[in-house]
Amino acid sequence: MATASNSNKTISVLFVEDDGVILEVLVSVLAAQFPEVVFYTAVNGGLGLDLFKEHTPDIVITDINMPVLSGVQMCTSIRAVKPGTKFIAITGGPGPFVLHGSEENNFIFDHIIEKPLALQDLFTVVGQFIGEVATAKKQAWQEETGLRLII
Amino acid sequence: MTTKSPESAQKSSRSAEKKNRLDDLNILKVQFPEGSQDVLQELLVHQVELEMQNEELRLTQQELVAAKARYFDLYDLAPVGYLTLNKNGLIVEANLTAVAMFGVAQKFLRQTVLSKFILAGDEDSYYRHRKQLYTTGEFQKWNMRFIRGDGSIFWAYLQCTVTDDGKMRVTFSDITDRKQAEEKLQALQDGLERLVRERTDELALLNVNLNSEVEERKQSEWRLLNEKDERLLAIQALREKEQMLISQNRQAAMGEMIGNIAHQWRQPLNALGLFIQRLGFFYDTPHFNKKFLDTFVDQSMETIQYMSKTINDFRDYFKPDKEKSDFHICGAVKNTLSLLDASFLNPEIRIVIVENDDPIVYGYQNEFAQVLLNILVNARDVIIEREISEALVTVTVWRDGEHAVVTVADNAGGIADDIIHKIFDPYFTTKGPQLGTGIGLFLSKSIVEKNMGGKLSVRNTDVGAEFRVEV
Repeated sequence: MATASNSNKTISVLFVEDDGVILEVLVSVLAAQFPEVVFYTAVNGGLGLDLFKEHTPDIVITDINMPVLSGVQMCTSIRAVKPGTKFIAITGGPGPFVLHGSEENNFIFDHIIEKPLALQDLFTVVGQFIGEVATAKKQAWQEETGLRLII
Repeated sequence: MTTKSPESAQKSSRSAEKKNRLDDLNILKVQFPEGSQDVLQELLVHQVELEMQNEELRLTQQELVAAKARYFDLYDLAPVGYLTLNKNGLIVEANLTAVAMFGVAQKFLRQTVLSKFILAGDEDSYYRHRKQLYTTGEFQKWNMRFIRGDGSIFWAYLQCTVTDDGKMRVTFSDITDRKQAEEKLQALQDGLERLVRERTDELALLNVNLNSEVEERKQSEWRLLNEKDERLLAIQALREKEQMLISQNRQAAMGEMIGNIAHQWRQPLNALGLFIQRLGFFYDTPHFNKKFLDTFVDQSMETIQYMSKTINDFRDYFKPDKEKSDFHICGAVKNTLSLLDASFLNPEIRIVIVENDDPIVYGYQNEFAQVLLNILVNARDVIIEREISEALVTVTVWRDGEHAVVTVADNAGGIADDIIHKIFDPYFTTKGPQLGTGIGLFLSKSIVEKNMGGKLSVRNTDVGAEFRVEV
């Protein structure tokens, strides 16, 4: 994955998942599906937060129940810093381990996907968010520069 | 010679006597003149006759005196009172004994009606018997009371006959003594009868009491028998309840296990799903080659084996122990922990096993594992509930004399002092009615102590609670 710092045009995604196997599979297919996107990966919430501080990705896809820092806690911290970030949660399904602490922290994800993951659903959501982020970035750039891009 | 009557004998002896005396006097006669001899003879005869009459009179008088004395002796001094009454009830004769008994002078008896001396209430019997006597002529005898001259009263026994000329002959004797004795006797008898009655009443009462006591005892016995039956039933019910609790606990543990399995399978299933989807996704792309295909197959099979092992572990774990066997404590600990692998991962709870010994115990292996499971799950639940960070559970195994000891210590803060002695009670739970059954620790204690003859206890350490299983 490219680790270049973000330019206005490049969209980046932070993927956090403590199961190495799942992480490897998902990132491989996502990278194949969205070749223009930059992917950053972490295996727990703490490392995820560190990566975010370094690269400020646009979209965060995260597992919920993780060691060190849970998915919810990590996302709360991130949203505080960059409110426009899109958050996608991957959960194990209904149960006491799911969305642990999300109600207390009053955190609302932009989308929730349940395991076992259906790739098509993931692609649809990610694609949609990429589109929204791209549009937002274009508008911001246009307002900044006053120019209109002829695309 | 023919026999003579006494009178004719007397006469003839008198004649003989006369002749003898005449003969004596005739001797004197010789000395007197002839002419006067006839007169003298007459006078002499007279004199002799007179003398003889005198003698007879004297004898008669003697006889009369003797007779009178005899009469006096027999009549007046008789040991009983004699009375003769005329047909009007007047006393015409009374002997001295009667006089003495009545205590009045002779003159007050004579010509007085007997009834004057009879006690008022007893007159009726006197009249009745007198009438009976005069009408039937039958011998009458009865008792009645007389009044003496000084007013005192005595009991008398009377016997009466009636004469041809209508006179009543009465004998009576003082039977006061006898009467008193009789009365005393009667009183005694009455007293005895009363005593007997009282005693009989007492006995009857006693009998009634005894009967009712017997009745009570019978009822008691019946009650006790019933109680015994009830107790037997109760014991049986308790046993059944215990069995039910054990199976309830097993079911709860099973539910727990199913939750764990579901948890344990989620990641592998997710991975398997992704492997397969990726296979389809990468076909027709440069990623798809032989190496990728082989990797896919290996990874998928590995995942499937792992899931299969979970099933086996689950099945083996829940086979109820039919019989005791020798098993390694450490092995049992590790097996139980592997079953709980997934649930100690998120949130992360560190588990450390310290094996100071590897004791072998003869007992029910799966039940022992159930106990460990209960304790470990409790530790996990408390850690989650209290949101302990850097949670740590330490399981230590060692040998203490003849016993194997396993301790499970956590750093979740410990058990409150006011409930620590209650946690082994049945139906006691801190998790609320939805989550806690309250029977896990109770059953664990029962399994350890009753089935395996061991001890299960808990204490608080500096950082948390420590359960101690000794078998």
